[in-house]
Amino acid sequence: MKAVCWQGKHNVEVMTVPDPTILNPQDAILKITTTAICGSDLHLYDGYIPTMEKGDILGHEFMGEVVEVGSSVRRLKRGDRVVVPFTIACGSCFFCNRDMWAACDNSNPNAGTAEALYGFSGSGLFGYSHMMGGYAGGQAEYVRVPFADVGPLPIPDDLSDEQVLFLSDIFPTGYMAAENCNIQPGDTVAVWGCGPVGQFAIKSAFLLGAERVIAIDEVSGRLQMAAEQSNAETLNFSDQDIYEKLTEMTGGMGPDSCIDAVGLEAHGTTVDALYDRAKTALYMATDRSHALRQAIRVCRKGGTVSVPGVYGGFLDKFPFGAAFSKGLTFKMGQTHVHKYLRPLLKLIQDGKIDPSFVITHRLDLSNAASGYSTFKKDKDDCIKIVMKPNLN
Amino acid sequence: MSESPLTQEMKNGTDGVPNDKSSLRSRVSKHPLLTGTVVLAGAGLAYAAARALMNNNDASVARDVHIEKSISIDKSRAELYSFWRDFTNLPLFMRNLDSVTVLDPTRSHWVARGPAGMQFEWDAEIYNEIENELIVWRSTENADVVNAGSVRFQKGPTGHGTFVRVTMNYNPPAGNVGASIAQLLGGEPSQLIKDDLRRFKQLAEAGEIPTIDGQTSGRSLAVETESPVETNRDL
Repeated sequence: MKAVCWQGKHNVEVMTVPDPTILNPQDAILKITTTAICGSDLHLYDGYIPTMEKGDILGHEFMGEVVEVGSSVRRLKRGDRVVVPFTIACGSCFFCNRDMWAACDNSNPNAGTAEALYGFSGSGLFGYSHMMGGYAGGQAEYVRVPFADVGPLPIPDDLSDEQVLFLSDIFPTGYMAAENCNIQPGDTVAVWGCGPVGQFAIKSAFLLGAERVIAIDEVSGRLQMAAEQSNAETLNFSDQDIYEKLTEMTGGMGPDSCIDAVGLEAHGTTVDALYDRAKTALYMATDRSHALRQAIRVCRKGGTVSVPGVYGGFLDKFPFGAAFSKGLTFKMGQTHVHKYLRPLLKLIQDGKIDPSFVITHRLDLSNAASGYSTFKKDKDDCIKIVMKPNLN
Repeated sequence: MSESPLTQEMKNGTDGVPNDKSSLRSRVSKHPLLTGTVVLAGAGLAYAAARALMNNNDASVARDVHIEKSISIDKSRAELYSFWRDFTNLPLFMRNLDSVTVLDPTRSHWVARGPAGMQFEWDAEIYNEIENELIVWRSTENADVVNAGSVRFQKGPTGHGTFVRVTMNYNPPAGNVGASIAQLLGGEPSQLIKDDLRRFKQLAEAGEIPTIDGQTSGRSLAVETESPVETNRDL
């Protein structure tokens, strides 16, 4: 089959590789109908995530048709059309039983590696480094899905792939980011980063009752989407002081909650942002946290900073004093996708949201390499790329 | 001894059908710890017994390496105890353990493999046991590796399952004085035991041990598929 393989920093290649096979009794094999490139795939593309190996198959946002199931699979059957959560969960451990699916104890074959770095391991993830399990991803014609009775969500025939594909990651991720803000009537939510997760965080904040959402980015095309699709107010950080502007817009109080939908590769034009760039370039720090610092500084007293953006290592100059003195609440982490699948499918069915609004590019899988470089370089026009691996 | 439902499930996957060559048992690799030297040594009691004998300067007492590890598992003490008590199950999650043959209610024969293909064998006896709580065993005379082990099953706080605590003691095999335990086992012993316990938990809770061994990638280009997937699909 054809698959998108990570070959090194800024180098992905569509290769012909063996088809996946059932390896465990609870596995299923999917023929992929639609897959996507995620903003977090750019962190891999840019070489920020450790324990990637040359030849790893990328992709963690995909859906398709079940073509084979393992001997212990009971619920899922051949022919089912399903969306698959990017987090792999066993469905029976302490964490799965408490709806913390991304913390599953039993799905990461390389848990020892993550444990050494982080103290404990989260769940396995598709196509997201060996520390996270090393599972082959879904930017391919076929994929192996472990714990097939636990994750995959059957999709009704009347919904298109593009309407439901993003249940695999970015819609639940944006939604959980907004839910983590514990939004109250009248709240103002500020969102840093208007990529796909930011767009869903903005829409979800409104769905959860926010009165105002302020979207922050430097890419005008993305700010424009936030304004047009969700009626967000927008701020371009390249031409104004975000702290000054946000406090002014909120009567001097600051936003009730702040969402960092940027993560470890934040861009910025302030002194601390340049400092981050220098330090990471010299390998003196791993993650650039400019957006997060700004969010912590401007968030109102007693407010919440919610972090769906991915961080991998160590932050430098983290303003913990500001966080402490204002009594901030922090919420973060990989998305507990399984928890949100059915509630969010219902929002789609009820017409409350059509997630396909973020799609700007449709490519053939064979053009994935140019898709990555476009996504990286042309942020103005390119917000979300979907690919059809099995069109023929 | 009749098998508990858990035992059946862990042996067979979740469908109760005995496994063939593709089964967990044949695919789960073997336990490094048991390699050679191994000894799963008994937590409290075994260790205490070993300590008591230490002054004897007796090479038949496992005491050179002592390791304790624990893990919480969301199953009852009785289920976990009965699975472990059938020693023939241990190779399912102990990576370098080839086989355990039960000789009688307390004695068994263990075969383990080291990283360089070395094979080690010994007989073990259970010399202390409390149903659903504790199993303590030790190698008997003429063991390739002098070893002893114990596993204790304790009820965790409400909602936190069973705490499984393993203690292992072992001496390097005779004639391998120069080799460290880590060399014999192919890894750092306490990490290897931790990994084995994790596999025990995965098998008990999730019904299988997660793996990517044998999966496709851009590194497997040279391997021509015999297209088993296609074949199965057409069946």
